[in-house]
Amino acid sequence: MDYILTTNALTKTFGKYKASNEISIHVNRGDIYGLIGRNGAGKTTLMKMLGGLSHPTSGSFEIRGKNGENTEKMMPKVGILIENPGLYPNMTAMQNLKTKALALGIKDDNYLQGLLKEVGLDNTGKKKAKQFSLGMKQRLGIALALVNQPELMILDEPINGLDPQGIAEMRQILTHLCNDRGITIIISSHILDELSKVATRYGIIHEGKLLEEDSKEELFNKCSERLELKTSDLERTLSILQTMGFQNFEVKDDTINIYERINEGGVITVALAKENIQTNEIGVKSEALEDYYFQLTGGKENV
Amino acid sequence: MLNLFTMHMYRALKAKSSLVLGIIMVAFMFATFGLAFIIFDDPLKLGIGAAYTQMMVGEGSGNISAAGAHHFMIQSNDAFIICLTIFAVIFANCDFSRGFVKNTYGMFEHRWKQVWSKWTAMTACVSIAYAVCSMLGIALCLGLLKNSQFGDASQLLRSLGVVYLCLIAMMTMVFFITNLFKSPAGGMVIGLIIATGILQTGEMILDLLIAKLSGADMNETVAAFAGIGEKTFFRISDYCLDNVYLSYTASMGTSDTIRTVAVALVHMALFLGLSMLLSEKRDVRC
Repeated sequence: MDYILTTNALTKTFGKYKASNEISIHVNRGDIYGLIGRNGAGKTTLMKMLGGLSHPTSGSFEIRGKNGENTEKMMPKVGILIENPGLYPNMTAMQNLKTKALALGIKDDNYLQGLLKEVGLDNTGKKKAKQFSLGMKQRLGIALALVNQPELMILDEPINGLDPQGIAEMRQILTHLCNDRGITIIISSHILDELSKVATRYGIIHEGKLLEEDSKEELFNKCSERLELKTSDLERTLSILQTMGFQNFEVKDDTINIYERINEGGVITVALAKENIQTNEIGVKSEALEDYYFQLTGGKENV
Repeated sequence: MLNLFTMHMYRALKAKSSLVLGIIMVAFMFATFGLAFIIFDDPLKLGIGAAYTQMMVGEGSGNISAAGAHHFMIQSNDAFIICLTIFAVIFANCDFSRGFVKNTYGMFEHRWKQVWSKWTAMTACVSIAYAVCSMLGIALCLGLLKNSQFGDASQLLRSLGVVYLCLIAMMTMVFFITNLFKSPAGGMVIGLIIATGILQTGEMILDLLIAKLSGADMNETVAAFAGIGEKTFFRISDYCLDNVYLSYTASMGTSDTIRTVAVALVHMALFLGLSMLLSEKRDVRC
């Protein structure tokens, strides 16, 4: 695998609280890696460590094969947007970009203008950043992260608070950056449906721990298909399923959701008929990413 | 580091606060000159305080020299140090409070380079303000006050240099306090305490306490404080930056001048070093 980023048991503690607990993620070059987790799950803490803003308590990480502590050699190829975009409100979009560009020794205004065009802010002129909408600020934040021509971008909740149009624009930008410029992106969000539209790989974080790391296909296979079963006798049906060796199922209202051997619907129907249990409804159903996430992290009550 | 310095200079020049503070500083220079004009015209009209000021600045002769003008316009002018404090606090804190630091802090192996470059940019800005205000103040006094004469050039140069070092040291102290608390409040409070001389009162109390505990003659002690006797005991205030700055005059002896310079340099090195160390150890929170 061509990993652009790997972390090895990356841990960050605040006092006794482990905000990031031995997290090991693997990000392939060209991925849009979606970090899923509720607020306070440890996504931002992890991203701050990867962005060089925070020191890990233990563990390590490698970006482009170089150890994370040797940031000077690798960070020029990393762009970050953590939480809100860091902007000088009394400066224009161009001046904000120029400020960062000067720190990197870039003096080409045409290049910066090109970046503004790429994120759709080339017509903002003398408008100050404080007069920007949230969507414009986020896009300027992306442009700032692009100044150093990164190979890897770390974006923390870039669609948070945006209106539907803003979300769509952001999605378009991210897809363009990944497909056309070949930039690997790590993006966190708790708007799972939106994340599922762009991400190609997922890491699910809960209470500082990485619960699961899957490709888009693996995750969708896990969460999108289940056998939904409604019968005339719920209790006896459960008992029969257990007798048949089913273990991964749950009851939701009057429906039994079976997450394994989903192609055995016919076998189940026959078995129930033999016991004089009427099958009212049976079929393979798909599930939203959100429901799978809730199932994995302990249910909606935890959110 | 040169790139980082350029970045900080760019944001200093683009910041509205720099311009506003610059205008305030120059305005206060004219206001202070107005005061000087009245004091040196006829101090007795303004009472004993003005007469005392004229005697101190005019070195007893009633004539104001270039060094005396510099002392009166910069050192005795609280506005200069207050503006300097406000600038240092705003400049040191702005990239943290706005979150811009997130765009640059992770990009360099050693964060102390960012602190160093920010400090050098601040020093450059303060140096420009100091040079402009000093020249303006001296030019106004020598050009427009009737009791003025250029006087000893070496005294002026010494005064310019020593006061400059003290101001940069004070800026560094405010810079550190702002970095430490990650809030403008701490730096502002300390800066204003220094400017208003409140800290000097505390230092004097400590000095008297030490003198009393060490069994010194209290009459001699008080006389030494008033400047009419020899110092016979250790005084903490002799090594405090605010005190050495406020009590420095161009006519001071060599040993006192050297002490003032040493105190300024030690404070500067200490607080700059601590700021760098702090940046290396701390996570960025904004």
